[in-house]
Amino acid sequence: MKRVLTALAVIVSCSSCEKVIDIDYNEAATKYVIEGEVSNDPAAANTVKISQTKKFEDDNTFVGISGATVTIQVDNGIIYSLPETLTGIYKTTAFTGTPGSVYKLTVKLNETVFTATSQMPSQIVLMDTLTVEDLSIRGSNPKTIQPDYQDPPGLGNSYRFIEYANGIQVKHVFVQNDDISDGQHITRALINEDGDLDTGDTVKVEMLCIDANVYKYWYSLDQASTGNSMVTPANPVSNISGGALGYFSAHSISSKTIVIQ
Amino acid sequence: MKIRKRLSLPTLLLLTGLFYSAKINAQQRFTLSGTVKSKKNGETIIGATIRLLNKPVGVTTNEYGFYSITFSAGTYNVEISSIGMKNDTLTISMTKDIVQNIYLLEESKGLKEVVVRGQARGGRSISGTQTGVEKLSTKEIKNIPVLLGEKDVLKTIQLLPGIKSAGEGNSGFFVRGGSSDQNQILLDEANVYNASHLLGFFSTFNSDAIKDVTVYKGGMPAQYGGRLSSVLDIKMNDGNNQDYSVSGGIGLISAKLNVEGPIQKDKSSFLITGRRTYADVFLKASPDSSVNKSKLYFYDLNAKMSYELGDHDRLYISGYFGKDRLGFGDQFGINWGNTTGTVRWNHIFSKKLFSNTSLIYSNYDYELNIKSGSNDFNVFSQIKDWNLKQDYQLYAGTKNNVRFGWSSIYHRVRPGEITSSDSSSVNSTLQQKRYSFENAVYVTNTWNASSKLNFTYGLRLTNFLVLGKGDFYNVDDKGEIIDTLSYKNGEVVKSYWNLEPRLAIGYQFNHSSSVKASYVRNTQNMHLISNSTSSTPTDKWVSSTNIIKPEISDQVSVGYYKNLAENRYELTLETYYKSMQNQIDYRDGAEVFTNDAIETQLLYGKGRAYGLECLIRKKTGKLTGWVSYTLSKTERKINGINNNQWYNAKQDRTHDIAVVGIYELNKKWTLSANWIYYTGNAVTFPNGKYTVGGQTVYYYTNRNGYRMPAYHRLDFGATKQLKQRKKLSTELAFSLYNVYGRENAYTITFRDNENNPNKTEAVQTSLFRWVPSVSYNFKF
Repeated sequence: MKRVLTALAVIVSCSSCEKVIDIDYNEAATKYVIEGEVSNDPAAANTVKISQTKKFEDDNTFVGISGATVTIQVDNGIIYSLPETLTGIYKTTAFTGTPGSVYKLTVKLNETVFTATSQMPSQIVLMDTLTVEDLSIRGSNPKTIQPDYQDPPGLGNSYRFIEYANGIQVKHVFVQNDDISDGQHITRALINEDGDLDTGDTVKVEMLCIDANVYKYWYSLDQASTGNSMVTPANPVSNISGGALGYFSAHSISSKTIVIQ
Repeated sequence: MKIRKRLSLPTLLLLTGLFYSAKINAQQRFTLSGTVKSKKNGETIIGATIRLLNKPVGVTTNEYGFYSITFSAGTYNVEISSIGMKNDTLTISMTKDIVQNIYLLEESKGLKEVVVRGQARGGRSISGTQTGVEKLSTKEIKNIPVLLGEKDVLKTIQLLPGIKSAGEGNSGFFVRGGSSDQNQILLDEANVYNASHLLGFFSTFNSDAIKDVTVYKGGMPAQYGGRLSSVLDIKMNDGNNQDYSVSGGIGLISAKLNVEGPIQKDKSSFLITGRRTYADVFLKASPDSSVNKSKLYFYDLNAKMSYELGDHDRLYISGYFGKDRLGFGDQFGINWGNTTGTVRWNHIFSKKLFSNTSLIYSNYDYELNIKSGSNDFNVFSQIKDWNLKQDYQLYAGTKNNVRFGWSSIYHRVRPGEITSSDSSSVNSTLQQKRYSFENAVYVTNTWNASSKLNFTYGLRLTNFLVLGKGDFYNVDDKGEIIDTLSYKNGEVVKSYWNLEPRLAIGYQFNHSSSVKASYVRNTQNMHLISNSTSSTPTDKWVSSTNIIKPEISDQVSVGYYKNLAENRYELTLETYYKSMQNQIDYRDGAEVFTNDAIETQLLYGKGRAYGLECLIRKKTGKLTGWVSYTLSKTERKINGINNNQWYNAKQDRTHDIAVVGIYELNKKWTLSANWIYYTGNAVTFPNGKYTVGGQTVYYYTNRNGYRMPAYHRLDFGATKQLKQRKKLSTELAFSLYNVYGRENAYTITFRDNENNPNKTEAVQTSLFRWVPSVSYNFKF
């Protein structure tokens, strides 16, 4: 809809214009940000990153928070601890995620405890193909990556895609679910309004099967927290309790690569 | 004698329960009644004043031009006046009841004849009890410069105090702190659910077809109900029953044509008005293939027929049809529009009892088409009403004017239906249709207790029945469904009763000043749920359910009215306080389209709004216009938003100023200008940021804790009369929007700096600077 509005404005006024402005931001207390991932990839470590919110004027570099006690419990059984390998980064390769298992994250930080639970979807769905589609709604550079896959029957399957163009992650949230496509062979483009893809670009797409709460997190983040939303801005709906921002996701991961012709 | 028999309707009077005895005393009393019309085209005149010369006794015509006034036997000089019309004086000898139809001559010049209604000389605001009402004339609408020269009722009313624009160039509006769906927009009594074209840049009302516009911001009379904030009552022209006439205009983005004339002279008439934009022609010129293959236009059609069936009956049939179409190539398209139809039957039961029966149809729908690879489907949504209404006006005596009636509306909402082809990867799905039956009875009396003191007191009783068939839900605090209840076809799921008192008092100090106060309760059972920052055609209308309760508002308002400098200026000061219950908002991360149980996505709370409105208006002379100022506050408190604390509503603006001037330079040229200033909307900006999933995410602490920059703008307009003959008149209208080219912020967004992604920046987008327009209008 934003595109439409802008197009309309340009048509009628030829004068839609943008400029960078200064805003006097309010002071806000910082908040912890936890990003936890468990995957079924034996080569990847299960990782929890802890940082905190920054001022708007600060740079975007990751500043980790040290000294947390981080554990992940598998199916209400064994508790694995994640030692801090770099400042604010806690990792373990002691276990590999398995489909259907429930993982419980516990982070203790300065007497505060944050917990989150995520279940790796029991049915792992892989991409069948990756194609390049010309989407007219994308404007003058219509090339758009389109994964397709077979959704298993039963509502609630959710997917996240991560796109890398020439090795660099595209800064955009791509999530899909089967609300209107249960059990179908789904082909849905990864529409990124701000990024252009050109002939010759190598594009890698990772597909993650995620649980419904994690879908909700990414969906709400994309809706309201990207700084460029059509809805009233708000923080994403997190699955972490205890008052931290971020998410904890146990997911499967697979990938495909395509060169744009 | 037949009439007298019908008049003996004591049951009706008993029904009202409020009837103030108007028994004939010692002296004999007689009634003068009839209809006031324009001599030129036979259009009935709304709000014309009929009064005794040199006496403070008078009435105004109702929305069908009917009047009735009773006084003791004698000979009287009666003056009939209506702004834009020449006064007429009759000498009437009241020795019996008299039916007198009155034809007024028009006094104005110009293409579209000036017909300012409801503004009798001496000031409309002074007398009576009505607070919070604004009326606009077609002349004012015609002369005020607007974006792209497209005259627009909804944009013009935004220049009045207490009515705020929904944004740059937008026809959406907020009244006294209410949301945009809390405005009841009526076109010939039919509810218009989405009154905007092209995503809000234009309204659905073609000003050529409009006869009268009245906005009630408070103190709504009891015959109105169903929305919390305001009533915008728009009446279409009836059509000329004297002569055929054709008028039209060609502007920068649209062309329009109006044809009207008698079907049978003096007895019946027709009117057809059409308009189509051709912005898509400009699209074709674009080098961008995504733009030049796009569709973007709207059209609308108004039609009306009026019949006089003898002396006592009149029949009106009117309709509106409008459609917007928007598309990107073959892959994406959306169209939406309203259809309304109204059949009305006026019957004059007697010299004192006027009746109107209306059968009204209203429909709003949108359809979204997506055809891209294996995604081949369309989404359809619709809201459809059938409404039967009966209204009686009883001119009970000199001192009492009773109005009573009832209304029944059957609503059917189809929230969303996906239809897909066999090869589509999308499943055809049907969200449950929702049925409801909205009923109301009302009675109100205006009692002129003395020449200075007037009271209006009334009651409106509403019942809203939520009907099956369908599944209804019980939802816990987290929005999870805990129980599903199935209802059969026609079964009552929930019944909501509400009693809405309407009270108003007016005290006139002298011939030039008065004070009034009012209290009104309104309820609303059709809710527009939107979490977008601007309105979109796909915003969702839902009816009250077992969980979604009727919205309720209570408003008190006090006003002071004064006419200055021998009625050349009119001053209005009004204050109000409004509290709102059962307000609705989306949860964070709500999924709007795919969810059947919409209640799982909603949060509820309350609202409050208060303010001071000031209007100084110059009504006569070469220079006319007004200065309007509003000081206001509007807040919401929703459980689950902003830590359950009060926060500023989006439309909360502290100051709102509009200055409007129209200057008749000479017979050829009319110049106009307006200047607008308002405090920026309350808006949510980040208070920090963090990185998740490789991208910058913004951190928010307070809902609407920031403000957009203040908005201001100056517009110029000029109209040149080219030809002015009996058979043909033509004119050219010029306008320049945003004369000093201020870059008003339309949106402010946040992003990583393109060159240094390690830094974030705030970006302001503004839309219209220096938008010129020219249009050519004709009439023959």
